[in-house]
Amino acid sequence: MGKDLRININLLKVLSALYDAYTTPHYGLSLSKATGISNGALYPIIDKLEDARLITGTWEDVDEHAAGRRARRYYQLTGDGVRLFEAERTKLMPILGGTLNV
Amino acid sequence: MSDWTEQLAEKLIRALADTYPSPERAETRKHEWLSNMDDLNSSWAKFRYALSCMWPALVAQPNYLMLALQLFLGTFLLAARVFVLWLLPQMLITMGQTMAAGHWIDVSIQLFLLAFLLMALPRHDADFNWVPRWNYPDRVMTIIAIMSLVGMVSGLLFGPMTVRVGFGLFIAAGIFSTWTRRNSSRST
Repeated sequence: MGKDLRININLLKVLSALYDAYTTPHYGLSLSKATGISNGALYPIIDKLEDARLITGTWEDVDEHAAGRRARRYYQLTGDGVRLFEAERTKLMPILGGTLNV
Repeated sequence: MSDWTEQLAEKLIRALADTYPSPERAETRKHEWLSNMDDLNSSWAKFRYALSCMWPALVAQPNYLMLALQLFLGTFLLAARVFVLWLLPQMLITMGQTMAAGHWIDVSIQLFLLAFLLMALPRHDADFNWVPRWNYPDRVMTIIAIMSLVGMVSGLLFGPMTVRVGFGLFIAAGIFSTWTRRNSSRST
């Protein structure tokens, strides 16, 4: 995990959304909608989480021509990401009063 | 209207993603943001989305000042391109005036510049790649825009001689562009 990764509420919201959707991963726009975090604030978080190897991004396997759109980049929690989220959630949930669930 | 807004949004996203320090991440973000933009319906929503990409690009910079400078130059280049589109009818008007009561040198210069611009503008954007060795469309567009602006302002102050000065600048831009390209190809 990155040494300078600061855990804040928005970062936990992103981890939470990805944790909840572990089987159906989110892409940038859906993650923004799910967390309520604006696109401008979301991507610095995604950058940090990717640098810390807490999430991983994979490109959608889609025929762009047939779909009429570009392939999406889906994000999933890594094992470290799951462990960090579970640990931080346990610590922070009493303080936040359950507001973490998005 | 919506078409150019979407094109502008796409260009903005490409430019912003390119400012990421890591080339791999720049490529990833570029495709990802364009893909996200595809999901939005209205062209203004796409444009707003492109604007929202400014902050992540800024935060990713090791040096904020450099990005601010890049954004400023990018905006200037974009303004130059838009300005050149406006320049065409302007040139037609001034050409008419010059032909009516001008010297044959001024008329020739106006015709040359007009032909050059017309050949550069058949596609979506002004593109000077058809000129051999002229590999800096953005730079050329900027120079032409500056030349035109200086020409118009100084035309009011100093008279019609500025058309000839403008032509001199145009030729200088060509020489500069060819010279810098030759130097950059030598160094690679």
